[in-house]
Amino acid sequence: MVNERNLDNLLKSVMPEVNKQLVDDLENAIDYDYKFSWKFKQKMKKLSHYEERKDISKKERMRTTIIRILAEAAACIFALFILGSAFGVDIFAFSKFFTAKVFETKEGGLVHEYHSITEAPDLEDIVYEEPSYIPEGYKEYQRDIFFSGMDIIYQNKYGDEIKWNQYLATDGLTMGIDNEFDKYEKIPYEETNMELYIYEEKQNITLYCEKGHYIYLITASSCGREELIEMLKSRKIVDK
Amino acid sequence: MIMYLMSIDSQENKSKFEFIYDQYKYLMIRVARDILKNDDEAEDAVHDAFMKIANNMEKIGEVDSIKTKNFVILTTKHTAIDIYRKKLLIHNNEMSVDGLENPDILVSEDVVHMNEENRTIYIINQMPDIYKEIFILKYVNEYTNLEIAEILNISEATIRKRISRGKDIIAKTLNEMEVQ
Repeated sequence: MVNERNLDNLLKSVMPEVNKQLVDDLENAIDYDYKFSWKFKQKMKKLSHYEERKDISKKERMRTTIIRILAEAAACIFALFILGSAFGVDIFAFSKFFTAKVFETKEGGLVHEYHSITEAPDLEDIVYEEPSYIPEGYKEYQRDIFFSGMDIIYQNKYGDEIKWNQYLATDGLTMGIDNEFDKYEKIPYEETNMELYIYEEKQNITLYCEKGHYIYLITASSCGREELIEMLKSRKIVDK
Repeated sequence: MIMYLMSIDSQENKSKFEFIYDQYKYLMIRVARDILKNDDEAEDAVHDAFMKIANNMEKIGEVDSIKTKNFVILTTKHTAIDIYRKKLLIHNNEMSVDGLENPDILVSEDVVHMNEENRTIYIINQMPDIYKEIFILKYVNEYTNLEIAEILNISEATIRKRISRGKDIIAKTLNEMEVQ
C-alpha cells in the first residue's frame, strides 16, 4: 500500500523524469526560424531597457551612498580643521552640495530623492535662471516662479512646447523621470553631467542636470539634443 | 574604496533579463502559439510573460537550468491561457475543473508489470496538465504552495486541494494495480 510519505518520496524521484519528457516534447517542436514582429521587438526592447535601468539604479544607489558617506566624512574632517584656524572659510566650496538617491516606482518612474550635504541657500536667496538661447520659432508662453524653483513653458505656432524647470535641491525634494526611454546619454558638462533621455515612441526628449544647489530639467517634443544642451548652457540669472 | 567602485563598473553589462530573453524566446513563442494559434496574440502572451518574469526575478536562480525552464514555460502557458480566456469572454480565473475530479486512467496489462516508479510516471502522464504542472513546481522546482499559487495565479487553497486530489488519484491507482 502507498502511504503519504512513500508517495511524497516517489513523486520527488519520478517528477524530474516526467518533467524532462514534457520539456523534451516542447523543445523538439521549437521553430527557430520564427520571425518575431517589429512591434514585439520594440516592446521587448523597452522592457529590456527598463530592466537594465533597474540594475543601474541599484548600482547608482550603492554608489551615491558610498559617495555620500565619503563626502560627509570629508566635510567633518574639514570642519574640524577649520574650527581651530581659519574662521570664515566657505565650506561649500570644498564639498558636494547634495546627493540624489535614485529608485524605481511600481509605475515605472525613476525617482530622484535629494538630500543636502551642506546647507542649501535660504529660499529668499534663490537665484532663478532662464535660458538666453531659445530654439527658433518658440516664444515664452507661461512662467511660474515659486518659493523653491521656476517653471517656464515656451511654445511655437504649432503648439509644440519646451518646458524649462529649475529647482533648488532641498532636503527631501523628489523628482520623477519616466524611465521608459529608448536612448540614454550622459554628457560631461563642467564639473558635472547632463543626462539625456530620449523617448522615441512619445517623440519626447528630456535633459536633466544637477548643478550647484540646483536641478535643471528641460523637456521638449519637437527639439533636438543640441538645442536642449544649448539652452542649458546659455542660462542666465533672471532680473528680479 | 576606489577599487570597489571600479568593480561595480566592470560587472557584466548584460542583465539576467536579457539572458532569459535570448535563451527562451523561441521556446516561449512555441508554447504560446500552441495555445493561441495566432502569432500576434502569441507575441502578446510572450511579452506579458516576460513582464511577469521581470517582476519575479528573485525566483530565478541560474538562467540555464531546468528550474528556470519550467518557470518560463509555465508562466508563458498560463499567460497565454489567460489571453485565450479573455478572447472567449470567460472571466473565471480558475481553470475549468471538468475532468479533474476523476480523470480516466487506463490500466493495461503491461503497466501492471512495471516497477512502482514507472507505474507512477505512467499515471502522472495520463493526468490533466494542471496536476503535472503543480507537481513539477512542487517536486522539481521546490516552490512552496504560496509561490506556486502566485506563479499560476490561483489561490493557495486551490493548490493545496489539487496536490491532495492528485496524490489521491495516484495512490488509488497504484493500490488498484497492486491488487491486480
